[in-house]
Amino acid sequence: MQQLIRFFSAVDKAFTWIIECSLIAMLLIMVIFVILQVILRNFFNSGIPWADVATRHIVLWISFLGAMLATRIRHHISIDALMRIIPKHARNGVRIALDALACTVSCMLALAAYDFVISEMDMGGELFIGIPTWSTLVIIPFGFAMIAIEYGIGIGLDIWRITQHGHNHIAGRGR
Amino acid sequence: MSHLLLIILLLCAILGAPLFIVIAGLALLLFASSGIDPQAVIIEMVRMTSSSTLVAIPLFTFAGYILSESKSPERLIRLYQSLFGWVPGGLAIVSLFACVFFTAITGASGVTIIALGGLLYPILTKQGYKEKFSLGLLTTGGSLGLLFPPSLPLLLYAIIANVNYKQLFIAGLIPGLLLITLLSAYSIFTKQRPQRIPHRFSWPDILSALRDAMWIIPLPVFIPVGIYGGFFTPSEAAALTVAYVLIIELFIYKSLRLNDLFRIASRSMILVGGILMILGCALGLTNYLVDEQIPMHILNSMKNVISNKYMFLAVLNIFLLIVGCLMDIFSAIIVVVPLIIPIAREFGVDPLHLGIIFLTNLEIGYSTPPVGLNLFISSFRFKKSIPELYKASLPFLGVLLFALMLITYLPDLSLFLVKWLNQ
Repeated sequence: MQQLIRFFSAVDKAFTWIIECSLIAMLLIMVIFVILQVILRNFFNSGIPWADVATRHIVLWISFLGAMLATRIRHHISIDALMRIIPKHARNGVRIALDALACTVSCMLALAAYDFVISEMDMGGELFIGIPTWSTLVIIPFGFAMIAIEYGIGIGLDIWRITQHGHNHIAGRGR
Repeated sequence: MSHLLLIILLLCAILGAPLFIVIAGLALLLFASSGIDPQAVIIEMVRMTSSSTLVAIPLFTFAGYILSESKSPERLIRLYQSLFGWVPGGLAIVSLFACVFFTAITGASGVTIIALGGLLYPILTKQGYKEKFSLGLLTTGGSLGLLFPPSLPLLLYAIIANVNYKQLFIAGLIPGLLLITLLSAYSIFTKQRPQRIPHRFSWPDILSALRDAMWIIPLPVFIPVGIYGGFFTPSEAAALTVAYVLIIELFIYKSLRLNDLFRIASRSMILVGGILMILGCALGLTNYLVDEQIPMHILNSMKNVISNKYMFLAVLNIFLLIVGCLMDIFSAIIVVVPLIIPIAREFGVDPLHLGIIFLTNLEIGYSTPPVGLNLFISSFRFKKSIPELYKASLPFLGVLLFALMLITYLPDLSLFLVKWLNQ
């Protein structure tokens, strides 16, 4: 079990690093595209026709990458008004149940998104300069699938840690 | 069956399930009960890619986080202190202005209290401000500035309500200044401030502080002027801000290193991912509710009780204060605005005025007991108990509620400038 956890955390580290690099690259590309457009428009009276579409799709990618990181440290926006009233020993159970809900819903979203991308593929639209529309939308099923897996692993680890440390362990916190 | 699931989902929401999960779950459930394919949720989500203004959200957030991680908060406080430090209650006013600047630029995400609170609290108490006053000031100040560009809630409201962003930020100027003026007046007249004033007015101090902060000063000017003057769109302003902030912090002030950018990018995009995930999932849900004419049903049942605009505004205020202290501002805007706009229109409330009322309410809701977000952030930042912070923020809430009344019942506070500039 220890080895399995070590393996997971190595994968997790590598993955986080890749996402962080992609995020900064995308942010910089967006800045460059947008500023280039301002310069081209104001000084040369021209522009790159596909730059606007590209930046708007980068926002979609950034949202999902950011959401994947947020899931990892369980930093999603939430209301936890009622959690404070629940007795301490019952909280872990509730937290695991909530993670299970999150895992189920993200799975359903991933499946719906997968179907959507497949039907986009069949339609074969083109976004710009030869890039097919479906290829930018791939991030949606991928993102939701990763989020579902993250919650799934979280539940497994929580249950294992509770068997090890009892209720000193606080579930539902991710890494 | 679907009613039971609905109740379970709502229960999970108040227990602390991620809101985007609850919203997406609701959308899936409602679509399924009307026999619509779950792909519809995704199709609505993809609509996110059709808004150019949305590009501004990650960019402004990134710029705001870069600024708050650098030494700029210190520079700004030094400048304000040299300018206002000699006024009675001056340091409190300095704190207010610093909070306004930071909230506007970081988009009211709790960053203000974390970044500025830690700097200002020790200075305030050392100069003899009562602890209770200082805590209340910084807690409520943590969301002040929402009404000024380029604040994210302002931008998000404009996107969701489909109003003109330029007009919305013009509409927010006088109400925003009203909030600051009233809180400054309270800081001057309160007995909680020290009687002796440690700072004297001195030109050399001002000049050296000005020189130190010289590169930050253009920021709060060029963004609004650029957008209002039509030189660039909000997204372009955001991209230019990122480039500008990167250049000054990396090459001129040298207060950040290239390596820091990874951490800042990931932290800020976690927030952006959180907001946009809710937005993406909510597009399907709110679209369903509007299609099913839910706002019209609410309106019809409201009409039995509420007869005029003024009663509607009063009920709206109470409702929004509750929303503001339960939900964070971004989800509140995303979920509640599409449902309220058609109702408000029926009662003859201008969508710009509605926006300002909406944002002011949520701004106050941030510090309203029992569950305002700022109270928890302050409790965490200053290591004080929550009840202590309730007591500390009460007088400030009183002042803000008074301002809210004025903003709600004097629509011209919001609309006068817009009308005047449109002539």
